[in-house]
Amino acid sequence: MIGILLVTHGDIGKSLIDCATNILGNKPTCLKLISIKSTNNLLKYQETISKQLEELNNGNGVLVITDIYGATPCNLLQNFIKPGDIEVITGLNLPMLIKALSDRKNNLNSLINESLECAKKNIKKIELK
Amino acid sequence: MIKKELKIINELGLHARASSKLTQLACKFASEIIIKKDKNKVNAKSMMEILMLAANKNSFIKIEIDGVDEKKALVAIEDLINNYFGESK
Repeated sequence: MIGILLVTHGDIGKSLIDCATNILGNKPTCLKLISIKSTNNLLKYQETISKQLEELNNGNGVLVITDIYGATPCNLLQNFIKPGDIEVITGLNLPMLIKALSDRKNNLNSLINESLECAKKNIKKIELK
Repeated sequence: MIKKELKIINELGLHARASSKLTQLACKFASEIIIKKDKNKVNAKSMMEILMLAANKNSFIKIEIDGVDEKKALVAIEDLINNYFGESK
């Protein structure tokens, strides 16, 4: 199974995992979270990310999801990208997370495409019925 | 292929947890299961697609099932919907 690592500002990731777990009805496996707090030593996170990636990668790759493009969590992850094996996407939202958690039978590239597409599809103006 | 129009009767409609239950049920069957509402057509085995139907209480959805276990799948889906997705109302 493809591993999923959330690297987020503060406790956003924890809240999203709680919501996704509630909606999906079971606790997702092969999923880890790193909450980045700006007051902490950023070097410390490099080690944590490295360790979590190693634990999550069972040969099927790891999808890392973060929230804001260009922000600290995103920048920290730059050094860990290994095309086709460890990939990073940004713009984390609840639909993206649910999609990523539910379609992990696919290969890493299609999981990336489907997760991004689902996240974008759910950003829309609601029309009056 | 079998088709049936079903009414969503639970208070919250086809919301996230209900969609998740429907997907989990649909995935137990080998048949292809399509749900249609208005101009939208989605795969019942994908929860996020079902949510795009935005099917509220009292709306109608059309189920199309094609495959070896289509009859069993329809009975199970009908039961889930008519039992309010296991919700109290």
